[in-house]
Amino acid sequence: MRTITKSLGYLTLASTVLVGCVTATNPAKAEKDKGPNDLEIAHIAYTAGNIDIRYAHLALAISENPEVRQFAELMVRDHAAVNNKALALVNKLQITPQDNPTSRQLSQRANDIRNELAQLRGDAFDKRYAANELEYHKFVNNAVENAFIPKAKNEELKSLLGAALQTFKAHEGHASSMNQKVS
Amino acid sequence: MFRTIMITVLSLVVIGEAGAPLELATASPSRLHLIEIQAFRFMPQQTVVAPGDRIRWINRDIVPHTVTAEGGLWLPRILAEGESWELAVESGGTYQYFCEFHPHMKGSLAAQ
Repeated sequence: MRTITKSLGYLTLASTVLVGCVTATNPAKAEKDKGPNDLEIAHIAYTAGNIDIRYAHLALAISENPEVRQFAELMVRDHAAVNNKALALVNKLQITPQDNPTSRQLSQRANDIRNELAQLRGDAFDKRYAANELEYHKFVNNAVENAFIPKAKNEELKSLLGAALQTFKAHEGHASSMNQKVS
Repeated sequence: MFRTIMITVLSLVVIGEAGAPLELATASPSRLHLIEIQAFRFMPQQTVVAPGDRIRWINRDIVPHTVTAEGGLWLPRILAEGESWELAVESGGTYQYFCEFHPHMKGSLAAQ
């Protein structure tokens, strides 16, 4: 039941992110539902990376499992690299990523999960961290592949999102392997 | 068997530009083989070389990777985006290598 509830959380978020892909017949609703613009996409993507870095730092503080620690170190390293690329692009284009409801929902949900994780120790932490990483990467990959890349107008942003998606898909595979090892 | 290959590290260099040729023939009999790290793969995954050849790995991905030898024949090299690293092959043998950060990334050298 807990797993279902957790998954539903990401499903709700996914529906928010992907809603722009749905064709609306009401013009006012269509405007509202047209999906994130480039500045919002940049903000959401950066926020999503930062969230996983913070999960990873929590794992490094709590877990003693080598598999979990190795994965967490990977998340810190890779997401920092991707976010640094994003910052470089933002500086190059002289734009300011735009805060938005999706970024805020992501951050709120991440706070809830971090609070939950912080109460756990040992195998309980490792299993919950591993499960969340798999669910989180599935959610992010779905959003990047099916909402952000198709919606992005700036070609450099689109290209960076494509490179980031390759990275995150590798993480999803790694997270799946980690889940098998800690379960 | 792994120990039969003798490899000399030439240098660690940073290459900022993209699009280097896949394989560069030189005036001497030895050749420079380029192995690109792209989309979380070593490409080509298997490389056949000859003693005296040089091998250059270059990271085209946006995240760091390593070129790490199974068995520790050479010290692992961390390559950030755009960085490359070369080594020279001195004698025959086969060797497996991988990325420590993303262990599903594997490659092999066959020196003959």
